[in-house]
Amino acid sequence: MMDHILSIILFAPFAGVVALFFIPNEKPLLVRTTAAIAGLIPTLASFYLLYHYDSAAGGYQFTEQYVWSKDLGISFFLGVDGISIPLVLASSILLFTGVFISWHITDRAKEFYIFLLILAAATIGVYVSLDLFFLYFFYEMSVLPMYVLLGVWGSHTKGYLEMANKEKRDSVGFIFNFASNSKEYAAMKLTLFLSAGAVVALIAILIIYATSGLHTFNLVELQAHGRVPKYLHGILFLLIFFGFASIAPIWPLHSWSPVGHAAAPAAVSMLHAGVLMKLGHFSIIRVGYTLFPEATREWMPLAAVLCVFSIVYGGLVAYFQRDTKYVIGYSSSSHMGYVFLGMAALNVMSMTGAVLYMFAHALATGMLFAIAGFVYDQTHTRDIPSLGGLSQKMPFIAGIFIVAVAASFGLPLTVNFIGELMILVGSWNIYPVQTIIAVLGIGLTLAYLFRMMRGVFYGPMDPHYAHARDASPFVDRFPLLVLAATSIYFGFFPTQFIDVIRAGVTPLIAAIQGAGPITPVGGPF
Amino acid sequence: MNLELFWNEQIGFPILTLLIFLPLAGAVSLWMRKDPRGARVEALVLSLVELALSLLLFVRFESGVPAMQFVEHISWIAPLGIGYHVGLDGISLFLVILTTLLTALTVIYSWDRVREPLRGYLICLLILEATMIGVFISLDLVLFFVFWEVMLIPMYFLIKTWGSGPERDYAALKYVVYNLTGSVLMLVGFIILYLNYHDWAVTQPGRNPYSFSYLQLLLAPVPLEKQIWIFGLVFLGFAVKGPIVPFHTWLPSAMLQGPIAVSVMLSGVKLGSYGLLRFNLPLTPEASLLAAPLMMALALFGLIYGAFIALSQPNLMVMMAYAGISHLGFVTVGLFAMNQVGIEGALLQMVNLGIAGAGMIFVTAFLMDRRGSFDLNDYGGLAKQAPLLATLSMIIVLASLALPGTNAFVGEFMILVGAFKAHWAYATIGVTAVILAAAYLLWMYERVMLGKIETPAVAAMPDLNGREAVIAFTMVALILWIGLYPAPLLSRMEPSVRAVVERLETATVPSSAVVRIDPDNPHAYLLKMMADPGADPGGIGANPSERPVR
Repeated sequence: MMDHILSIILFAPFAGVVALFFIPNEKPLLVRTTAAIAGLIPTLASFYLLYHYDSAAGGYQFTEQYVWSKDLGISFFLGVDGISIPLVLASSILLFTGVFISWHITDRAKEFYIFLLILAAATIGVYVSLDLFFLYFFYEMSVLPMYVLLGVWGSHTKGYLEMANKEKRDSVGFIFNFASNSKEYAAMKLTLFLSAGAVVALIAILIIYATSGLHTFNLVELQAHGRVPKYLHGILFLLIFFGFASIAPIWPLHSWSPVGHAAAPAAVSMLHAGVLMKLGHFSIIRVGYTLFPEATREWMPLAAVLCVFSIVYGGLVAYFQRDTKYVIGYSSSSHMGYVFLGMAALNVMSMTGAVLYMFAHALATGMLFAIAGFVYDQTHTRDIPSLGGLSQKMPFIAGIFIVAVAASFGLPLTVNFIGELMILVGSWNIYPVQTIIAVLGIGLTLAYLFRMMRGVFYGPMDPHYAHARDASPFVDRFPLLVLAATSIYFGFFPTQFIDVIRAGVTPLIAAIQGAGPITPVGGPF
Repeated sequence: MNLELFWNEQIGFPILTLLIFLPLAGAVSLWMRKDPRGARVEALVLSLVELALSLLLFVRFESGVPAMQFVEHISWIAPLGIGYHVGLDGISLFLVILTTLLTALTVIYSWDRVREPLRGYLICLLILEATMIGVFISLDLVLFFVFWEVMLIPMYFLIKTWGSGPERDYAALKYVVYNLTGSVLMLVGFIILYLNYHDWAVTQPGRNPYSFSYLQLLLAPVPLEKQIWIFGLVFLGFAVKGPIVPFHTWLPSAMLQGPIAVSVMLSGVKLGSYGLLRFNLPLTPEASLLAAPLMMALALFGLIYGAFIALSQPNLMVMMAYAGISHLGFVTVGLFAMNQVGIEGALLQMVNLGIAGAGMIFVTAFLMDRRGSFDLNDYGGLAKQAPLLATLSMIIVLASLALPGTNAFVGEFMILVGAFKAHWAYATIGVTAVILAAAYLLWMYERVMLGKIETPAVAAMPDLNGREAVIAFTMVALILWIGLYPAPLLSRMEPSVRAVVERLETATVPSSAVVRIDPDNPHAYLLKMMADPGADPGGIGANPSERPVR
C-alpha cells in the first residue's frame, strides 16, 4: 500500500468528489464528513511522506509510473523530492482545514466541496507529477475550478452596491462589462491571467518536447538525456519563468491576485494564497531549474530585481488598504517576493529557506484568511475602519489572529522565522541591497498587520456588531488550532523538514553552480 | 493503404449497406404510415438500431491495420469505372458512430418539440443520417458526390419547414446556394483527377482505363500543376462545408434559423474537415505541402476570428456557431501540421468537438425551450432553479474549453504538439484561442447560470426532464470517458492516419516545381519565402528535386 502512497494522496480527494456526487444536498453532515475524510487521508499520508523520505538517498522517491500514451511519450509518472514534500503537506493540511472553515456554507454545499476537492487535488497533482504533460494537465485543472468557486460562492467587494446601477456597471471593467469590483470580474480576471500564463508555459513545454530529441515528456529522462539546443535555453527559461510566475505572482503580473483573494470564499482564499500561488515557484524550480541550470544562473538575478518591487509595492499597498482581504492579499504578494529572493540567491541555504518559507507562509496566510472570513461571516463587512473592538466579542479569534500575525512577520519559534532567516542569511552575500530591503519589508509587514489588528479587534466597537459571536463550536476552532499548532510545532522541531528540503535542493544547486557537490551550509542549525 | 478487408471476412452480413439503406427504408415506411405517435417510435427504434450497428462496427473493427474494412464492391456503370464501393477505416469509423449517435439523440430530443408535420421531419432526419453515413463510407468518388449532394435536400427542407427563426426561407436558400457552389467546384476537381488517372492507366497494361475508385486513384501519380488545381477546387468544396473562414457566413444563419436537429448536425458532424483529410491530403500530397502555410494562415485566422466574434455575441446560438468555426480552425491547424500527432489529434478533435459542440447545442436548445429566447440577457441565475441542467452543462462547457480530464484536452494537446512540430509560430498563435475559448464560454456560463434570478420567466423554469437528462448524461459520459482513456480511439485511428502521413512523407516535389522546399522543414522555409520573396531559394538542398519532402 505504501508503494502507492502518492496515488492515495492524489486520488483520495477525487474519490471524495465521486462520493459526493451520490450524496444528496439534504444531508449536509454527511456531505461535510465525506469532504473532511477526503482531506484527512492525504494529510496523514503526507506526514508519512515527510517522515519516511530518505534524505540521505535524496532524489525522487515513492515513484509510480504507468504508460498513458506510448505514441506521444506520455506516462503518468509520480514522485516527490525534498522540494515537493512540504508543498504536498501544505496542500493537504489546507484542504483538510478548509473543509472545516467552510462548515457553515449552506448554499449548494455539496457542489462547493466538489470544486474545492478538485482544486486541492489538482494542486497536489502538479506537486507530484514528474511528467510535463501531467504537470500542465493538473496546472490547468487547478485554474478553472477557481472561476466557479469565485463566481458562485464568492462575495463582491465593498462599494459594489454603489456601482450596481446598470449604466455605471457597463462603463467599468475589463473587456467585459462587469463592475470592476464584482466577483464576476475577479473570477474572469483571474482565469484570463492564469490561462494566459499557462499558455506561455505550454509553449515552452512544447518547445522542450520538440527539440529534446527524446520524444518524451518524462522530466527525469529530459534532465538526464535531453538535447535541447543551447541557444534555446535562455528563451525557454524566460518563457517558463514568466508563464509560471504569473501565478506566483511576481510584480508586475500580480494584479489578478488581490482581487481574486477578496472575492473568494475563505477556504478558497486559503488554498489560493497558501498553495496555488506556490505552483508558480514550484514549477519554475521543477521545470526551469532542473532542465536549464545555466540559464537559471544567468536569468535569476532578474527575479532578484523584480522581487524587490513585489516586497515593497505589495507591502505599501497593503498598508493603505481598507478591506481586510485586500490587506492579506497584498501581503501575500509581498511575501512571495521573499521566496523569489531566496530562489534567486542560488545557494543551498537560501533555497532551503525559500522552500521552507513557502510551507510556512501557507500556514500563516491560511490562518489570516480563515479569520478574515470568519469576521466577515459575523459582521458582513470587510471594511477595517468600520470594524473595531471585536476582541470583546471573539477572544479566541483575536488570540489566534495574534499567532497568525506573529507567524506572518516571522516571530521566532514559528516556522516562518526559520524560513525567513535562512533566506536572508543565504542571500546576504549575493544581494546585500535586496536583503536590506527585505528586512525593512518585515517592518512593513509588522506595520500593516498591527494596523489591521488594531482596526478590527481593538478600539471602540460599533454596537451594530453586538450580535457577533466567537468561534465557539469546536468545528470552528479546530482548523485554526491545527494550523497554529503545525506552525509552532515545526518552529520548534524543523530538523526533519530542513533535512528533507536540503536533500532536494542540494543537487539542483550543485548543477547550477556547476562545481560539483556543495558542502551543506551549517548555519545556526 | 490499398489493403481491403471485405465484409464477409469480418462479419456475417453487408453491414455498411445496411447502415445506409435501413434509414432510407425507414423513411419510406414512415411516409406510408399514418399515425404520428407510431412514427416517432419507429424513427427512434430505427435510429437506435443504426447506433447499435455502428457500435458493432467498433467492436469488430480490426485495429492495427490501415485497411479499408467491411468493404463491399459492386460494379455499377462499368464503362465509366463507377461502382458501388463502400468501406471504412480508422478515419471514418468514429465519424460514422458520431453520426448515428447524434441522430438517435436528436430523435429523442425532438419527441414533442417539433411542429407538424412530424412525420416529414423524421423522414428528413433519417434521409440526412443515411446520406451522412454514405459520405463517410463511400470509396467511389461519384458515390461520394451523390451522397454529398443528396444531403442538401433534407437539410434544405429541415431548415425551411421546421426552422425556428423568421428568416428560415432565406437561410435555407443561402445554405443550398453556398454548398452547391462549393460542391460543383469540387466535382470539377474530381473530374480532373479522374482524367489524370485515365492518362496514366492507359499506359499500364491490364488496368481498367477509367475508375472513380478512391483506392485506384491513389495509385496514379499526379503532376504538380494538376495537383494544385485539384487541391484548390476540392478544397473550396470542403472549405464551404467546413466551414473555414471566409466561407462561413451560411453557418450562423442556418443554425439560428434552422431547427435544433440541423444545428446539432452542423456543429456535431465535421464533414468538411473529414473531406480534407480523406481527399486533399492523400490525393494531392505535394500540393498540400505547398499550400500548408496558406491553409495554416486561414485556419489560425478563423480560429481567432471565430473566438472574438463568439466573445462579442449576445445571441447564444450565433455564439455557438462561431465557437464551432473557431474549433474547426483548430482542427484544420492539426490537419495541415501534416505529421502523425497533428493529424491524429485533429481526427480525435473532430470527434471530441462533435460531442462537445453538439452537447452545447442541446444545452442551448434546452434553454430555448424553457425561455423562448436565445438572448443571453434573458437568462441569469438558472443554476438555483435547474441544478441538474447547470451541473451537466458545466461539464459540457468545460469540455468545450478543453479542461484537462475532458475529451477535448487530449485532442487539443496533440494538435498543439503537431502544430509545434510544423513550426513554433503556428502553435504559439494557436494557443491564444485556448484563452479566448475560456473567456467566451465561461462568460456565457456566468451570464446564463450564475448570479441572481432576475426575471419571473426564469424563476418558473423546470429542470431537465427524463429525455433531456438521457441526452445530457450520454454526452457527459462520453466526455469523461474519452478524456480519461482515449486509447481505444487512438489505437484504431493510428494506422489509417499513418498511411496518410506516409504518403505525405514520401511525396517528392518535381524539379519543375515553382518553389523549392527545404526537406526538413517546409513550413519554416515557405514562411521565410513569404516574408522575403527575394531570398535565395538555393543553398537549402543542393538538388531539391532528388530529395523527399518531409
